[in-house]
Amino acid sequence: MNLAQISIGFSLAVALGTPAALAAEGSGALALGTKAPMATARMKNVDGKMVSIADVAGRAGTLVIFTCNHCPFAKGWEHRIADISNSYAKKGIGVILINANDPAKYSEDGWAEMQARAKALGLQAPYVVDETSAVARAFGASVTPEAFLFDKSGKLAYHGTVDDNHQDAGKVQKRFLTDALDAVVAGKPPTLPETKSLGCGIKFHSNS
Amino acid sequence: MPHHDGRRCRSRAASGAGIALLCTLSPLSGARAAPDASVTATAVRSAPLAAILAEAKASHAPLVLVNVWATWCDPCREELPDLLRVYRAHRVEGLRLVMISADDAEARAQAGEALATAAARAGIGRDLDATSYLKEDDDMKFIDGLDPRWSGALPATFLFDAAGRRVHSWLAPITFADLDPEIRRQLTKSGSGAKRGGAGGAPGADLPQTSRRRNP
Repeated sequence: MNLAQISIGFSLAVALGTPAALAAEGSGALALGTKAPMATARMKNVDGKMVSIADVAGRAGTLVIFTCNHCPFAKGWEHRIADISNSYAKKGIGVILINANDPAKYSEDGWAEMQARAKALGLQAPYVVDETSAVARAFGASVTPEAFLFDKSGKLAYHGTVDDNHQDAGKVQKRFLTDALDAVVAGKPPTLPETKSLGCGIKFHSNS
Repeated sequence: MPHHDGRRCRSRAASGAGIALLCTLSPLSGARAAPDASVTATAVRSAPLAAILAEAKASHAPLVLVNVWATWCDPCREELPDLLRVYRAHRVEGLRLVMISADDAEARAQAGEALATAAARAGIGRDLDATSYLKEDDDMKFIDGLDPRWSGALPATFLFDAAGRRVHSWLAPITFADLDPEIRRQLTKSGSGAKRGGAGGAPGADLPQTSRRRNP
């Protein structure tokens, strides 16, 4: 028996050891087809104004991305996230970026640093502070960056990551988020509605 | 079987299941010097998850604790001392520790140094025989291969039994108090804890369990 056969056997054992009911629970995040929770909660934008998810809702759909400044994964994707945000806004997608991290844990995630980052990236969408992490908790978000894309009827159509290479945009093979956005803009369900990537755990505020 | 990067590896026939490659601490010939001269960097090599888990199973350890971490991840580094304390407490009963780094390949030496330094501080030093890898698979395959319920947030820790079944997942930073009771329970269940006088835990369900505590 070779290593590949051992691997297959082991994977099967792992699979068999996983009850389907538990495996189907997902990571605890918002289920596909549901509407955005706390959509009217106002959060402080980098321009000082208070903005909610409902405020930015687009005619074709709404993209909510939980992200932050300090996380190496968020940094790796930040230019692509800014480009996607700016370009799909022109296609009728409302976009809001939410930082739910407690800046007491990473000062780089503070509001002033968010302002600087948004400016440096040329970000046109709001980049807001979820100051008690309540919105992230309501979404069941757990990692940065983590995208939730709602279709024009307000139902969650895609949940997951940006693409398959946070380190190098030139080596991306699967553009999960833009594929999903194209589908939603076209009024169709995304082919791959849920994806995952490694990322930083959201550093939740503990006072809520 | 050839070995690289100065690892001290030994091949072992796994009863009817092929060859297991077990690597223990040894100097890294091509690595940067560790910041602490008394610490020898842990060997870290790239491997797909299926091979990592197959090697762990082939070691015949009654329990295998798999931790996914990264050098840049503060909660990962913060939990390392407790993780190593748990390992030190139970390795005599056969607990095996597998560390999988999500770092870039360029950080291989840094990952080895970080592990070795943490091991030295935990009082394990050069006796640490944890096997250390860099993740090689794409993220979704890797994440779902360990636990489909895992979102991918670092750090995360998983416990496998001798048959290669995942018996517990900790999808958040851990402490000694999080890990120790479950490891005692599983060791007792496997017979390893009871044989060596390990304390038994409360009987529980046989289904894989998950601890989902928020990141601090």
